[in-house]
Amino acid sequence: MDEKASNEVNEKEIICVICPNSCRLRVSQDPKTKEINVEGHQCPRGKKYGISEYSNPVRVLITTMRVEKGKLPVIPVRSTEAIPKSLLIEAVKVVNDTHCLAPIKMGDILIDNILNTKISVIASRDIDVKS
Amino acid sequence: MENIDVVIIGGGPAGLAAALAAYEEGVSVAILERDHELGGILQQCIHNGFGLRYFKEELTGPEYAQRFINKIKESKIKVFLNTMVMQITSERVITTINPNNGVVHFKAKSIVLGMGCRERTRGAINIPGTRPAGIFPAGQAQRFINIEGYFPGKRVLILGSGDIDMIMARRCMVEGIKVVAVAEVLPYPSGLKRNQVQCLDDYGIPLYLRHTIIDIRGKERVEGVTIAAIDEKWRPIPGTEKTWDVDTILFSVGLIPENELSSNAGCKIANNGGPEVDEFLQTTVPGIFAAGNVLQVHDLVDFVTFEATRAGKNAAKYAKDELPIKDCQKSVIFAKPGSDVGYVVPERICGIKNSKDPYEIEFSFRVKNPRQNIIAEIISKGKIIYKRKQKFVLPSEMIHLKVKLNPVDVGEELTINIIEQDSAINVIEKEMLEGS
Amino acid sequence: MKSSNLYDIAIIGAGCVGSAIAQRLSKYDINIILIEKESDVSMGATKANSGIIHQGYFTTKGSLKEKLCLRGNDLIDEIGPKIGVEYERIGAIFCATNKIERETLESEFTKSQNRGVDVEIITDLNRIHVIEPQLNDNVITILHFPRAGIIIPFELTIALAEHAIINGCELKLEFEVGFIKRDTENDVFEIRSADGRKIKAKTIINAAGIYSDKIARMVGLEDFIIIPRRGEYILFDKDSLPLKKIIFPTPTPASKGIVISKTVHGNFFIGPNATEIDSKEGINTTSIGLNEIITGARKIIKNLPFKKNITNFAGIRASTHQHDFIVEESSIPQFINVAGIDSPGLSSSLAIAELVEQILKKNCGYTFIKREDYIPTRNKQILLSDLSEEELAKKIKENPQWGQIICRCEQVTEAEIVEACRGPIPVKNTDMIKRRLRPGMGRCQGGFCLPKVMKIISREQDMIMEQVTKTGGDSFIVFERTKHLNSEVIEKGDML
Repeated sequence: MDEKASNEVNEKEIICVICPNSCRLRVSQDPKTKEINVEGHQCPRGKKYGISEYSNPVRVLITTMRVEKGKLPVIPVRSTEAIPKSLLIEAVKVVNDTHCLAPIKMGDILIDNILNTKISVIASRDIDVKS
Repeated sequence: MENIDVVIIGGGPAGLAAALAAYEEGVSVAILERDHELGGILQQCIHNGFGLRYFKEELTGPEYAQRFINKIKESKIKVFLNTMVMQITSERVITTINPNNGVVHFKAKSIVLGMGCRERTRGAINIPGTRPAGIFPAGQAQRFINIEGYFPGKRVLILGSGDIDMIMARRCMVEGIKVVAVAEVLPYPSGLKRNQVQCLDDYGIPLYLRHTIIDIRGKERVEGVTIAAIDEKWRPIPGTEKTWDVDTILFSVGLIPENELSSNAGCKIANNGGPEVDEFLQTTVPGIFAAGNVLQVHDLVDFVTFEATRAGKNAAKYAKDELPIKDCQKSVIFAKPGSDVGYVVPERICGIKNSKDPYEIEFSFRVKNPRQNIIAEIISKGKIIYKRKQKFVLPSEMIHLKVKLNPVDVGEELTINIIEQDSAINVIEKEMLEGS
Repeated sequence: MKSSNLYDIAIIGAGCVGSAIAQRLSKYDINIILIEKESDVSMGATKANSGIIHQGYFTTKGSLKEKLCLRGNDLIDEIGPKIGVEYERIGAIFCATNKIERETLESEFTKSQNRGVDVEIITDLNRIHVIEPQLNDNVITILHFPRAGIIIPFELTIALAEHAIINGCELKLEFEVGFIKRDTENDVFEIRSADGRKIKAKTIINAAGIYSDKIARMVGLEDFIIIPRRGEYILFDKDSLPLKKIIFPTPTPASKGIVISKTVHGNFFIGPNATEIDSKEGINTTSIGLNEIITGARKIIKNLPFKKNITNFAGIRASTHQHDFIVEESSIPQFINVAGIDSPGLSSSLAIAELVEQILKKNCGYTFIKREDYIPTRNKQILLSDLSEEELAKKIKENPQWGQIICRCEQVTEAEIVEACRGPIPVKNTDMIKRRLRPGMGRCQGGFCLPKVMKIISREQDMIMEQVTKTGGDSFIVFERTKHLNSEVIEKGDML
């Protein structure tokens, strides 16, 4: 069963967002060579985008975190790099269960190595202590 | 009365950049900000995608703001928070109120208006239905979620497919608020493709183009919503209705420059809702400059920064009596939107007539329709005096033209047109024939 | 003031009519209670209404509408200034665009002269356009009523209710009458709310607007039914059209037609249409209705500034088949019906109250004695716009909240909102603040100030933010908090 599935050509349609051309890419992987094949692109950047969106789509994690003793109740945070798309929602849950303590400076690491991605979650701004 | 060389109204992205640019010219600068902190609306735009043009790296809104705020902190720019400007006179006397200092007056040698814009309201688009709680402008919902830490709802329909709508759709889904659909009255999404892919498609949110809300249910809180497809006259088409049970409707139907202070100061307001300005970004009132969303609603904050930097610099020059054109009412040439162009900034050009050399002007404008393979051309005295080919134009993407015009080519006014490449070539050929 | 739950008079319905009656009776030494099912006064037909003080025009000769409208128009000069409500006699004009319409206006001109009303008919086209430059060129004749005026209906109602309250009238909000029992032995009515609360009163005044038939049926009266009629409106931004007059088309037997008028605060509106609807709660606007009023308005004025509209809304009129007001003691002793109050109800409200007072004296055995502690005036709340710069500077020094602008569009300060919260009618939702001070009523419609207004209400009324509603009941604005934050009451010193 598994064998059969992996032999099927798994084609995906991906819209390229690199430029306003918005090429509709057809991306597939050769089951034997594991080579990723991109069609429908009009430039090399499109091909690169197709491969990365197909093999490992990543997104920057954006959310807020609870702040104790801060001027504001929550602080905007982001991941230092894009993390695998499939981990996004789980990563937000980790952030939701964490909190930080004011004062905070932009760039402060609030969560190190989130979900073992080796990527950190950092503060997007300063937050002073509530007076 | 406090005497300041350059007073900046508003501490959002435009005000921050204008203040720093003016300060670098060696004049005294003050920022008047109504909120309790600097940064303006960027503080609630916590998503990434800012700064690619200006900082050449991708930042979140608060990060973009923080970089400027940190620079302001290092400078001697005076910052007045919780300070509401009540009035600006054409003599540049500014009346403010503030809880700690009461009524305070400022006398400025020049002013940069940077008040930004506000969201158009539901009423402004005449959505029918009841008026229960749970109908939010997208920006207000953004504030509740990103700054105040409250859920404004649990199941949402979004009307509008601008960037803020799509970004809010993603923010909702990330925080556990279900977005059932996005409806858009136009036949195309009004935001960037990238946002459509990464904010809607990523989360499986359906986008209904050429649809509008035809009914909102619920007396106390929103209980449901019905959308329908619309025909070319914007009438709902019977039989196309789709209904959801939702507790919240977010909408965003455009932004309006906030210009009550400007028009009370005597600035002429142009058709796009911003003050009419010249190539120095000076309004029709001498010494009052404008930049950012108060002048024209931008799609990228980076361009707000570029624009405000120019305004700040020019305001400082005006304060130092170094601006080349002192009288912005004289020798005016008007720039007009032509075919398929919504508006043009600047609307007035004061310096070209008296210039001996080719004269550089930065125009920005928006097209009315998404088009491909076009030519942006400038016409004066019946002749094409500038043209540029462009593969794509979208109403959601502001076009910037930095041009050098020869003063002898320019008449009393000039017009910017967007035309198809074929027809443009025909015109040029025709002229060549006529010329020969 | 009183020991038991027994009142002399219970007024059911705190619209402009119920509140006017309460205000009138509150100067006497009796116990009055004003009962309202909604979270504020002025929430029914009064809320969304044209806000015009009419001058008796186009009413049937000898009708209550004719008599009470004319009397009400006069009474506003007597009562308005005392209770601190703003109104402006800008004058109304009716416009004819053809011969038939002109004849209608001519006949109304004669009728109005016979009523002894100030009126003028104008056919000189130049003068017509001097009187109202915004009119279309096809207007050939206008009928001008100089003593017609504009008023904000809920401002009048709040002022009336508050004046009654400071003179001892009790106001019970969110009390929906579910049941009325007549205790013939003790000559009292027992009024029960849907949730089981009880009030006793010797006399009931049924001013329940669109629900007045339902209330009448509770005591067995079936002599009228209310037919809800919906009227939709579109409101435009301040200064978007420099109107001088209240502008009407020539009325038809069915309706006065689409009005175009400015408001006391400088906005202007167009509307209403008139649609009979099934539901008494049908206060939704419709695409058809909005189109109808736009088309109607365009027939008479030249430039409708479309980009400047800021909201649309709908109101309900409590009409009956009788086509006249019902103001009388019913066949049940001590039960007075004030029903079928559709247009010109707002204009007539003060006169209706006067008539009710007469009925109480004549038919119900009341001999009213003026209270010794009667406070004859209600001071209008001081607003930022009333203050000179020096006065404002002084106020900020005493109370920094005067220096904190909450609503940018209407320039409302924190101090004003706090004072409204602590007023005679405690403010518990954001719409109540909006009706009193107008934040959220301006061009941004609350886009910027809503969270701040919510925080002030939370702080003043000791409610958590999630309990603050838009308009009472379950109209909650935010649900729970994100990120496991605690629900909180905003405290003094917290950021707004």
